[in-house]
Amino acid sequence: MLKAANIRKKFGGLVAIDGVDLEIGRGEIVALIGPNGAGKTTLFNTITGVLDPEEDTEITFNGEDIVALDTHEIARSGLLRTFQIVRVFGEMTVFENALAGALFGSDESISQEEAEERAREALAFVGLEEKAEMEAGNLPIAQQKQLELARTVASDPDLVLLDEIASGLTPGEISELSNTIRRLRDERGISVFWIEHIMDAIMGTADRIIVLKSGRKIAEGTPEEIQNDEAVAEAYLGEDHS
Amino acid sequence: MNTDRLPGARSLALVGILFVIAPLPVLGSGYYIGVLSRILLFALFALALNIVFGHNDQLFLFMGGLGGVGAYTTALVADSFGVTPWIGLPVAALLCGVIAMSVSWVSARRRFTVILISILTLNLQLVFSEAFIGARDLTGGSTGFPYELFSLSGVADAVGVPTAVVLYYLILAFLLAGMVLYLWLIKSSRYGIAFEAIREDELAAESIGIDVVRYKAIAGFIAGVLIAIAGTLLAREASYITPSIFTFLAVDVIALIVLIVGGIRRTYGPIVGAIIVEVIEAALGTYAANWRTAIFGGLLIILFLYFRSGVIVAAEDLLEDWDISLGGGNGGTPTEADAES
Repeated sequence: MLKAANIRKKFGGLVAIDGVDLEIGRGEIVALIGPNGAGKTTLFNTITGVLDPEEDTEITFNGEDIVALDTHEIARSGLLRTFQIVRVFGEMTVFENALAGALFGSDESISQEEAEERAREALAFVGLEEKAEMEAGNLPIAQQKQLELARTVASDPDLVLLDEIASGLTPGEISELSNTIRRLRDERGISVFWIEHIMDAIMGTADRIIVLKSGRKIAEGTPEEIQNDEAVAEAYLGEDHS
Repeated sequence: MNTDRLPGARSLALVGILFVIAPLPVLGSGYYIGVLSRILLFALFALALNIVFGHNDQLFLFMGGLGGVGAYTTALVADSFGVTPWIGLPVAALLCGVIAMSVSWVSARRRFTVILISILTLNLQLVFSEAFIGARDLTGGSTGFPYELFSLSGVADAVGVPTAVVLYYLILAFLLAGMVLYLWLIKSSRYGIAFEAIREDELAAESIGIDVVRYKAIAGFIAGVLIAIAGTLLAREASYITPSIFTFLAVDVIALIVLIVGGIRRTYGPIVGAIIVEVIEAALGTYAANWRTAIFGGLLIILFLYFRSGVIVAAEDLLEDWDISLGGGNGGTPTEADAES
């Protein structure tokens, strides 16, 4: 579904992403981990067109070359994202947030009624239907993250990129969220590419883990393989044990 | 009136009726008709600003210049092609729409912040102002020329009222049409949601598939059209066109104050603000002509200090304290909800 070869991104002289290849298949949940400053969010921004990659980068989504596309065009092709620091539209109601996703997030032109139906359905999916008329900015942070997820679900995406969606949440909220993410795949057939620092959140959920360090992919495999990987342990040791 | 299709249509009709009967007690007085006309004109400028700045975060500070381009174009097209100004006005509106749209498009493409757009447009304002004075062959320079288009006196004679009264109703018709456009655009179309998303968070808006550049350009175009109409009517109200009508101080500053005092992003913010500002201006002009600017400035400071989010919001809060609800609870637009409930 998402295929990328040799993703490269430089900021002046600093190479933030240094030739990363990756592939996300249909129905897969893939986690992206790595120490701070590894380039995880930069990788997301490069894939979603927020940042323009270097010239030799190749990214295709459902067979379509998306390197030259704008962010909104990539979103409409079915590749959506959430943000590290939650970005719901705080002055809109919860329902209007989901409605915005339904109205603008897909290439098909849908009627107002159908968009409203999809928005309601997406809110029900994450369990926010009771809060539909609340102002989104007044929701607790965990529910804002659920809403951000619902906003992407409402546009019926093929793949969502989640940027540290579990950070700042309590263990109870995290397991609820992980559950929602599994249901994204199981009930909706949506693939997930997921940056996360909180290992508990991904270990039971991800099919595959990609490890990034200093802009390079240093490991890739099942959660068990990654847990036993020496290079990964080394990458994290400096952080955890100094 | 189909209130299902257009939320707030009933309140707007009520406001429309009030403005229709407003001049009746003062039909004989050219002065009061003039004040009423200016209220409508600046409500129209502020309405354009509400769409492009309030709902779209693009601070246009070339409303005077753009209004001037509209006014001169209407007259020049009518004059050079020997056609009625009713053809000149749409041409002018289209031209100004395209100018404003280009500014919005370039600004959005280059990711200008609201400050950068305001600097860019303020520069354009100065360019337009100089051009009006400099292009003497077309504009008559700073002396200008008489501006008595739209053959209103014929209608006035037929009905038996002063021309100024006919002009007032003409301006009112354009303002109400603008308000209908506003209600449809912001309150009931998907543009409203796209605009709100863009205003709150451009990156999040893009990331859910909203074409930010396109929507900003559309908002710019609509504002440009409204500004051209307001500018043309402003010159017609003065019956004489000179560059001094279209300066930054004469138009942009007033329209911005009108919008902020009335209430930004409020349906009736432009109208309420225009009434307050123009009444103060008129009162000062009558009773304190020499101190007008100084007192006006002082009053503005007070208004901004105590009514920072607009008089409408302050009035709603006050009524809420008295336990009289205007019937809010529909996403922060209680003003037009009151007539619905």
